[in-house]
Amino acid sequence: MNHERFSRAALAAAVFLSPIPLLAHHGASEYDMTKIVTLNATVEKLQFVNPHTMLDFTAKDETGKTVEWEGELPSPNLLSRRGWNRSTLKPGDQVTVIGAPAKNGEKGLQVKKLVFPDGHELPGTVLPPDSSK
Amino acid sequence: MKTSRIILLLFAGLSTFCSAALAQTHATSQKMAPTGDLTGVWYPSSVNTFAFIWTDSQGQRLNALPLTPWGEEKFKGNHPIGGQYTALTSNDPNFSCLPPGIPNVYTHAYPVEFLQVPGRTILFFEYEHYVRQIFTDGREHAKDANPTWMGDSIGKWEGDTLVVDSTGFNDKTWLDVAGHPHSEAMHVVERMRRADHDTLMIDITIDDPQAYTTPLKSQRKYILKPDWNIMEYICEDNRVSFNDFEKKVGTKGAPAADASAEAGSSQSIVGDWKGTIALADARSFPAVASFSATSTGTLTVTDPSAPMQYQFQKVTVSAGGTVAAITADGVNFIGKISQDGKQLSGDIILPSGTGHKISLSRP
Repeated sequence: MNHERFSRAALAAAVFLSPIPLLAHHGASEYDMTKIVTLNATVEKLQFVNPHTMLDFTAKDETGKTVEWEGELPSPNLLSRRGWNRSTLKPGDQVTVIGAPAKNGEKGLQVKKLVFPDGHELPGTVLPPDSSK
Repeated sequence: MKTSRIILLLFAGLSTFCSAALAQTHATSQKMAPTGDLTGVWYPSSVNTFAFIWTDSQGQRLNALPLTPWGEEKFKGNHPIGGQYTALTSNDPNFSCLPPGIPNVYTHAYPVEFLQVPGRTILFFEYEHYVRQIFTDGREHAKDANPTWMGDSIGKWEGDTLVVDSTGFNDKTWLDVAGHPHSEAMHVVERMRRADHDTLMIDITIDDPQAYTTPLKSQRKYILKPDWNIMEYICEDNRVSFNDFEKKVGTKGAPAADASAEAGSSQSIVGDWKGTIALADARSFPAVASFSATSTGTLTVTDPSAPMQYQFQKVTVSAGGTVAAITADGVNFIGKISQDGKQLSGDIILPSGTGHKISLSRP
C-alpha cells in the first residue's frame, strides 16, 4: 500500500513539477510536447472566448488535400495582454500556425505561436518573461 | 449558485466603498497598527510549479505527503489529470468549475489584485473573479462558522509582512492538482511580503492533523504588473463546444503525426551562431549555437551558476525561414532566420510552456 502511494505521488510529481502552463485549467496532457507541427493555415474562424480561445483553420496535407484543423489557445484575458484581440484573425487570413499536436492523431493542436506573412509573430501558449513591464 | 455569487460580489463592492468612505472615522477611532503595502496587480512568476512543491517544517522536500489513514482514503478517491485521467475523466473539482479554495487558487495562471482598505486586505482574483477578504481589524475567527470554499481569513501585520490565518474551509477542494485532500480541520497560515518592490512572496503552511501527520509548507512568487487591470476569466463560458474539442483530442487513438515543416529553405541554418538568451525569470546570458548538416544542433547557455545545453535532434527549416527543432526531452526551439541569413531569433519552449527568448547572429 505504501509502495502504491509512493509511486502515485512520484507519478504526480513527474507530471506536475514543471512551471505553470498557461492552460492550467486543464493541463496539456492531450498534446505531444515532443513534437511540433508547422502549418500554412487558412483561417476559418477565431473564437475569442473563455475558457480557451479556439482557432479553426484548414491546411494542406502532404498529398495536397485540404484538411480541417482546430487549435487551442489561452483565454482572451491572457492573449489580449500579448497583443491579440478578437479581430486578430479573420476568415480567409493566411498565417503560419506552429504548435504541439494532439497525442491521438486527431487534427487538433495547442498553438505555440503564429507567424504572419510580413514576419511579425504573436505568442500563443508560451509563458511571458517575469519582467514587471 | 450564480445569484449568490453576484450577491457576494455586490456585497464586497458595496462594503469596500463604505469602508473607504468611513476610512476617516476608522483612522481616528482606532489606534493604527503598522502596515505594509501589498497593493497592486500581481501575476504568478514563471518559476512557480503547476503543482506545489511541499516541504516539511525544516524545509526538507516531501516526495510523498505524510497522509493519515483518513487522508489516504480520500487521496485514493481523487483522480488528478495526467496518467490515465484527462480533463474529461478527472474528478478534480476545478474541471467542474467549482471554486478552487486556498491554496489551490494559487495554481491558476491568472493575476490577483491586492486592495487594502482600513480593516481589510482584499484579494481580487482574475480567475472566476473570486474575492477573498482578509480581516485585519483585530477580530478573531468566527466561532463554529459554516465551512466555506475560500475559508475565514484574519490577518495581522508583522512589520511589512501580512500574516494571514485561515480556517473554516469545507473539504470539497483539493490542496493541489496532484489530488492531495484536506479536511474541514485545515488551518492555513500565509506570510505575504514584498521581497522587493516588484516581487511578492507568499509562504504557505498547511496544518491539517486529520489528513496529514505533520504540517506542510510551500511557497508562491508573484511579479508586480503596474500597467495591468484585472480582466475576466469565466470557466463556464463556451464550455459546451470546448468539451467537444476535449473529447476530440483527449481520447486515445493513433500517435500524432511527425513534424511537418514544408520542404526547402531560403537560408541554411548550418553553422555557428552567437548571441544572448533572455530567460523567463528575466535573467540574461551569453549563448552560442551550432547546427550541422545532419539536422541536429546544440545551444549552449553560459550561466555561471548552472551551464545549460540543449541538444536538438531534429531541426527543420521551412521555405520562409521558420525553424522548428526539438530535443529528446521535448524542449522546442521555434525561430526564424532573417532574409539575409545573418540573424536567428526565436523561443525556447519547455514542455511546460515556459519560454526563453534567444537572439543569435553570425558574420
